Amino acid sequence: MEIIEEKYQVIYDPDAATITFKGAMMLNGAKGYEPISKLLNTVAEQRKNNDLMINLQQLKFLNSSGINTLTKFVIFINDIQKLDIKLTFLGNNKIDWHVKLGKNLTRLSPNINVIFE
Amino acid sequence: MKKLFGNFIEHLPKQEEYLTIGFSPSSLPLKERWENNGLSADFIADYFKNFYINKHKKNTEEDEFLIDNFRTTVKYIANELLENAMKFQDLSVPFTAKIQFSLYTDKLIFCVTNGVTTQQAENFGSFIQQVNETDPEELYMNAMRANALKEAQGEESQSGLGLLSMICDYAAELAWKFEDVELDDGSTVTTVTTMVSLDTNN
Repeated sequence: MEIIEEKYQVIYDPDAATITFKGAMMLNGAKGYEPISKLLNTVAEQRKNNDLMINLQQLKFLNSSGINTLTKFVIFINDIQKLDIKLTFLGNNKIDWHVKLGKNLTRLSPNINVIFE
Repeated sequence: MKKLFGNFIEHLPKQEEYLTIGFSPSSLPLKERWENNGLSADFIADYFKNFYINKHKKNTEEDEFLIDNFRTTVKYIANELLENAMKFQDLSVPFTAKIQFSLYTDKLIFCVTNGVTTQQAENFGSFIQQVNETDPEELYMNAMRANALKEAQGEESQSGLGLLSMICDYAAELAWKFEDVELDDGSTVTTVTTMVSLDTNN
């Protein structure tokens, strides 16, 4: 499962149980991010009671609608669907907004894991 | 009619460097106009970076990260303001929206002005009131949760997350001006100007 566009890519690797984001995403609101949300939610259903990693290390830019897509996803799996997924976000601590996003995600849902490499 | 919210500076001190970009609700399809937001935000960010590098570059790896992160912050704020202006621009009036970016020695100021309908002005006004009366951090977290729940129920959500992230994640100071402006044809349009100040000493 993958979304490949000129400016960004979202790729799911089932063997590594990892969704990797790359590039710069500046889509228009929740509608613009619908394909991304669908991919995330579909993968989450498959990973029920299991672990899943979201790798953002190669994501250089994300607008607030994109950040909203990720925070919605965290709430979707933990509070709405209660999928019991051990979710890990992998970021780059040299990128300030990765660190800020990590803090916000942990505040929203303390049981998710945020690591930086 | 003129209303100010927050610490809105009506007459900005004379600045040495500034950039203004205007954009009209034109015949271009939204998708292409949307692309322009990213291009304009990149342009503003590169313009900023060029000045900032001259003053701060010390050629260490840490400086590079600092500059790159600052450039991304400028791009983020400019892009959010442009996106909002485009989303909330009243397409029925021939008012050219604009973004002005001013560089001062200790701060950056972004000002974006666009025309709004009476309903949009009211909605935006109540959002601003909430921001001024509630702890922004709490509002930010609540807005994220409310968005997720609304969308799970198939409702559309519009929460001002971009503006809240500027306050909470980037320590930006926000202020607004609502003003009725007379157009060339004698008609009047309500405009809103969002002012974002970012301290560069942090």
